[in-house]
Amino acid sequence: MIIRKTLLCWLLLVCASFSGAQEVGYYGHRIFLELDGQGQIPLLQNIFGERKGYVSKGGTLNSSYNLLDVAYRASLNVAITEPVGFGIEFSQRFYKVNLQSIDEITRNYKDSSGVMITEYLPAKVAYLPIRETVFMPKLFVALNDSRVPCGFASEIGIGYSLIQFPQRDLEVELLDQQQPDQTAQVKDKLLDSRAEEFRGLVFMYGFRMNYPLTKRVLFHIGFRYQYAMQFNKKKFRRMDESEYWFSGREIWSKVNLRRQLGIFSFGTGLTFTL
Amino acid sequence: MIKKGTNLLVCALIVVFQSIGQSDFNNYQPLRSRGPVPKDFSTSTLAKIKQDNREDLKSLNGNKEDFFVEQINYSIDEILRSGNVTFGDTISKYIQQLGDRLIAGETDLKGKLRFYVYNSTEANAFSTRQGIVFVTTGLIAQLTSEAQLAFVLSHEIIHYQEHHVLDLFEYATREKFYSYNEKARFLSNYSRENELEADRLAVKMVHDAGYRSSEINKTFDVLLYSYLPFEEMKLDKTYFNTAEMYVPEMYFDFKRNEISAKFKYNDYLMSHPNLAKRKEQVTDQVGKFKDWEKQILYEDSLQFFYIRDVARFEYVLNKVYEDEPVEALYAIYILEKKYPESTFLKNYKSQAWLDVMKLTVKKENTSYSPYSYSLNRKKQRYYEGQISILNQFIMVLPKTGKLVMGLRNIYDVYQSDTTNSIARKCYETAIQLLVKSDDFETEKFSSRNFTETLAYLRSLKQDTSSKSQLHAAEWDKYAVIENQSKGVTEDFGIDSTKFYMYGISDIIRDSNFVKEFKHSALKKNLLDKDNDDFNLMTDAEQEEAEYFKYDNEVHLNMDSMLVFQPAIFETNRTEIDVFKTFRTRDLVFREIYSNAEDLDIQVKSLSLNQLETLSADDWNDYSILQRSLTRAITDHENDYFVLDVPNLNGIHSKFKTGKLLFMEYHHMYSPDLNFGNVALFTVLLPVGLVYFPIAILSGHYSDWQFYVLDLKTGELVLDRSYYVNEPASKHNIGSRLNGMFHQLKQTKNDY
Repeated sequence: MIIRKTLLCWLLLVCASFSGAQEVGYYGHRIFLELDGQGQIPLLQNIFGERKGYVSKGGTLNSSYNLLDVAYRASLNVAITEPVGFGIEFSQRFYKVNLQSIDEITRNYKDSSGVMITEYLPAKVAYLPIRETVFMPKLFVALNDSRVPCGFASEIGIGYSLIQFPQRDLEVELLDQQQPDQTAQVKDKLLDSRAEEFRGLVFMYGFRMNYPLTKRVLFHIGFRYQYAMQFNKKKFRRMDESEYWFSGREIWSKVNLRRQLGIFSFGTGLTFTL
Repeated sequence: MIKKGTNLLVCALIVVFQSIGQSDFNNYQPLRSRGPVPKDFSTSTLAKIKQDNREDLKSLNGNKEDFFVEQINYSIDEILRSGNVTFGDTISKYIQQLGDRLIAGETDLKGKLRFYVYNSTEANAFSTRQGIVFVTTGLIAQLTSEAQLAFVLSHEIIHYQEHHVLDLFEYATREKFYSYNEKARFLSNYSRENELEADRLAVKMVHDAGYRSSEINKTFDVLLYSYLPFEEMKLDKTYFNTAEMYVPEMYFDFKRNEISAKFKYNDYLMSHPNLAKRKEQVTDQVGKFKDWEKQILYEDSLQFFYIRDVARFEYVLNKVYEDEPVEALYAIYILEKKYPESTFLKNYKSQAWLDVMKLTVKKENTSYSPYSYSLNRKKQRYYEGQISILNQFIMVLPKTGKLVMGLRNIYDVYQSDTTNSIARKCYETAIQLLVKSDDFETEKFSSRNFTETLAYLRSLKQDTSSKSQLHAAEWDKYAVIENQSKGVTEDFGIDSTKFYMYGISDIIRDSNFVKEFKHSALKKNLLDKDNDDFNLMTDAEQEEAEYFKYDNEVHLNMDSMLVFQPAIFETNRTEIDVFKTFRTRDLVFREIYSNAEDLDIQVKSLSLNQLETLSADDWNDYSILQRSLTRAITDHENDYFVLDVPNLNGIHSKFKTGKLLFMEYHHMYSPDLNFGNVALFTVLLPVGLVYFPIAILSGHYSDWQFYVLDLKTGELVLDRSYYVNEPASKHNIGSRLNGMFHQLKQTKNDY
């Protein structure tokens, strides 16, 4: 990972020295730093598509929409020519996945004697929080005769994404508890340990307007389409036999599906010329 | 006895006046503003809008009143500041006197009217609500008596007196047809009733001022035929003949195109009454006054004919600047009869011939694509009357013929006064054009002129000696072809369609010409070599070379610049937003100075930003630059215009900077949110969530044009345009100017 970062930094520096013309950039400043917020509110998906999930509040699980999908971004960029710029972006996106389709959890696995055990438990499980970290080289292409980083611009990029679960210890509420420590047992085997993190790619196209505020600062607002690809699907069996209530394949699929739903988002932020 | 004395005095005055006029026109100088600057020029538009007393606008409601006051003041100021209006000049002073005389009996008008000349070849006059009356030089050039001018002025005065402008505005608003273009017509397009009323009352005004009735109706003839040159004079078949050039008479035997304009009565669907009706009404009106002959006669005013000649000289100037060489040459032909020694006419004739010659060549590095081809060749105009003969003569000449006729005329003008810098510059440019053309090879032209050749061939024919017979017999197929191309027929005659091959024998023997021609040819060879190198490149290399060239074009090493009044417009869908326009104009100026200072570029300006400080000289410089820029921008791709170089050099010395920057900026905010879109995307909300932000954000349309004029050579060295979807904010404008100034400051790189 470190090697990749170093490589990208070198690439940025090479691009910065590519064009010697001073006129490129904003008031002659060619390198610029961007800090952004990005997000979406998947209202329609929540209303018409996805079943409500649960969040923990005061020790109990309450039904709730899955509306959280926000990200922050930081990127270092350089204007190569008047209409074209190049940058490297780091971003972290936070969203949640509802692992359940109904209020029930299930597993099937072979015990030590080789007997196939299938278990069903009526239960509520809290949303699984996701943190997706993306490193993305990107290109800006200004619309018409705009000058990067000012005015309208399209941006395209391909990013490497790392999907992690910062909170694996999800709240569980059994609806038909038979043993006092049953909840603890379920929580212990809730998520497949093999599904610790996923990796993938992000294909991004964005369109934005950059309004200059001062000679060094610009405000921008726009939207992005992000198509996400997720690796390591083949690592898991389709009908996985696992003593975990949520198998690796199940988690993989749910996360993958949720990522596709986040294909469109709005963003806004500030650009600082260096 | 007294009468005889008066007649003698008049004759003496005519002779004195003629001789003064003659010498004036021999060294004619274009119209210039003089003396104190009138308030119409020195007061800003915003101040005029603020000071407008609006007493006559009570019939309009608040919004309409504001709109009307803004637009009318803006439109008039655009005219005043177009560079075409002068003050304190001979014509303006004259029409002011004439106007004052016409309103002598109208106490309510005294001191309210200002008369200015509008320099244009169009025949027109118009009055404004503010009490300004404009008369074009094109109209004055066409008139045949002062009485006609008096009638035209009276007509416009009545429009002002009767508030017809307001009538038109109310009509336009009621009919909902007004747009920006329509509003521009508020100045001169009145309704049938208004026009007829103005004619009716103008007859009385002219009568009261003491003019003869017979001249009034002729004004309508002037208006009807104003699209023709100011005289219908038969083209002399020997006009182009000199000791060295003979143009066969058959070139002037073309059929003259008939004059088609006619008085018609049917004005159904016309917003204005036709001239026939107006003429008829005026005839009736004239009949109502019985004491015409008792009045003092003004129509023989000598001053009028002097003024008319000034207007005709301006007509030549305007036609040359408008790149209409045929009309210019015909007007020069007419004026030369009266002023054969006029240096002005000679210089303008040279330039007009350069404009004919340039039809045969293409500018460096422009390809022969269908698009650039059309750039080089203007659409041919259809002429009527005598001018059509001259037009057909020029158009029928092949490329070489045009080049030779141009060279002949330009060379003769230069030889008649070798100290004349404009004639010299035209001559040098003509040589460049010859070299650029592929149709001019000096060795192909006869070293004998037409008469000499004719005599020589006749002697050959008559010579029965064996030597000359042998000479004729030796003409094989290839010799025949070669001789044909030189205009010699097989029977020792001259092919008169190639008369021009015998028209420059003295020029091709002139060692100075030969030297300069060779020098230019060498330069062209170097350019050709560059073109050859370019053609041998791979596609990628060509692309790179063209990108480099595009980038390098802007690097003009400009440490200082003269910033000319930028043309800035803020519009909504159809209208100019006057206040926004002025706000953006101020913003652009501030950003020009601020960025130039940051980049250490010295800025001088010739702008209308501080109107009150401008002198008549500044206004003259302003007009010169307006005219030069208009010409340079109109035909940037293929222009060889040298007439204004001395003037531009003068401005260069005055401002001590070699380059002039002129920019145009047009911003409009018009998001694509019509009822249909809003309804559709509200129903389709998810799409609307994307569509509405984009539509709102991208509703800004900004057009930038940057032009750089080299004040030393008169060439437009940069013509660059940018189109962006950005608001007209301080830093959008500032960063654009910063980038442009950065580029302009850099020196050219070698490829």
